[in-house]
Amino acid sequence: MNKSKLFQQKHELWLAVLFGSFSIADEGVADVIYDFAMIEYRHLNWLGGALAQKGEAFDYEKGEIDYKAEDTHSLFRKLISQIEEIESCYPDHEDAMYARFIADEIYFVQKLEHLIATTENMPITAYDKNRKLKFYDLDQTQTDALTLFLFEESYKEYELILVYTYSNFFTDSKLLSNIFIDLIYESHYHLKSFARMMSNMGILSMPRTIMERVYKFDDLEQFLIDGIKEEEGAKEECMRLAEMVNHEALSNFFFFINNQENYHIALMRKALEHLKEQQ
Amino acid sequence: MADLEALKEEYIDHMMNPRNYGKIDNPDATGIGKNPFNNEMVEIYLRLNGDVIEEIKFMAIGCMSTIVTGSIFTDMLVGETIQEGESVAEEFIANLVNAPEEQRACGEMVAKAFLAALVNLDHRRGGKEEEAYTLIISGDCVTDEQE
Repeated sequence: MNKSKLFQQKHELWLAVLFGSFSIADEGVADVIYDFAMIEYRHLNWLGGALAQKGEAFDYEKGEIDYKAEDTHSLFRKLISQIEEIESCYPDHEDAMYARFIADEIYFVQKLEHLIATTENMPITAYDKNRKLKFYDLDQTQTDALTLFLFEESYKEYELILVYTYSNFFTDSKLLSNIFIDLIYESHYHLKSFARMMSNMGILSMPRTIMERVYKFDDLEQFLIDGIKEEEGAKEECMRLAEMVNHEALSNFFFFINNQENYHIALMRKALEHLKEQQ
Repeated sequence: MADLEALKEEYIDHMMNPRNYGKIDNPDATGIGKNPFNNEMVEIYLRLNGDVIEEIKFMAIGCMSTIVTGSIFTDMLVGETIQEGESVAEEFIANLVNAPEEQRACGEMVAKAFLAALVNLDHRRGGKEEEAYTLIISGDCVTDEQE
C-alpha cells in the first residue's frame, strides 16, 4: 500500500477511536478508549515523521469515517473491525515502528473484546441533538452561544493539533519543536473537554477536513502572527461565554480555558522571537 | 465567531453533517471566494454533465456560519443547470442585504466562490489552462472583537 494512503488510514482510525471515546457517557470506559486514541495519535505522529524524513508526500485528507454507533458494544465491535482492517496495510511487519503498531493494536482488540464481555451495553446519546448540558440549567440564548462555541472551537483545536504536528515534522529547532509539542497536547486537552461537552449535549460531530493550505504554508512567522490573533479571539470568546452563561462551575471552566490561552500566546510569542533571532 | 440567529434544528444538522464538504478530484471547474480582510475563503469544485451540475463540493477556511451556508447553498444546486445556479447565486448575493451583518461576508464568500467557478469553467472551455478563478468579496466579516 502507498504510504501516504496508509497515513490517511491511520488518521481516520485515530479519529474513529477518539470520537468513539468521546461518545461514551461512562467516563471510566471512555478514558480507556481515549488512551487508545492517544496511542493511535502517536502512531500517526511517528508515521508522519518517518515519511517526512524520507521526503515522501502526505496530507490530512480523510474520507467518510464510520464512527457513530447506537450503543457501546456496537461501537467496540466497529472499532475492532476498523483496527483489524488496518493491520493488513502495514508494509513491513519486521520494521520496529510497524511491529509496535501491530502489538498495540492486538492489545486494543483484546481489551475491546474484554469490554464487550464485562461491561453493560449502554446506549450512545452523543448524536441525539438534545442540546441539554446535564446538570446545568441553561436558557435558549446560553445554549445557542455554547453550541456555536463548541462547534467553532472543537474544529479549531483539531486543526491546531494537525498544524503543529505537521510543522513539527519539518522543524530542526529544538525550541520550536518543544513549543509545538506543548501546544499540541494543550489542544488535545481542549478538544477532549469541548468534545465531551458536545457529546453530553448530543451534538458530537467529526471535525471537517482541513484545507491543505492551512498546514502546508511557507511562512511560519505569519502563521504564528495569525495564530496569536486567533488565540486572542478565542480568549475573548471564552470570556464572553463565561459571562453569558453566568453559571459558576461553567464560567470557572471557561475562565480556566481563557487562562490557558494566555500561556499559548506566550509560547507563540516565544516561537516568533526565536524565528526573528534566527533571521 | 459569527452568530447564527436562533439556532434551528436544521442549522444544527448542517453543523453536525455539512453536506457536500470536501474535494472533487479533477473537477471541471474550481472557484474561490476570498475575504481579503481576514484571509477566510471558500473553494467550490464542480463536476458537470453538459451544463448540469452533477456534483458540487466545497471546502472552507472560515467560521461555522460559512460552513452552514456552504452546506445549504451547494445542496440547492445539485442537479441544476449552471444558468440556474448563476441566477441562484446572484439572487443570493442580492438578498444578503437582509441578512444579519455578521453573516453577509460568509454568504458572499460562498456565492462568489460558485460564480468564480463559472468564470473558471468559461476560461477552461475557451482553452485557457487555469486551475481556479478567485473573486474577492466586497464586505468584511464583523466579529464581536471588532464591534
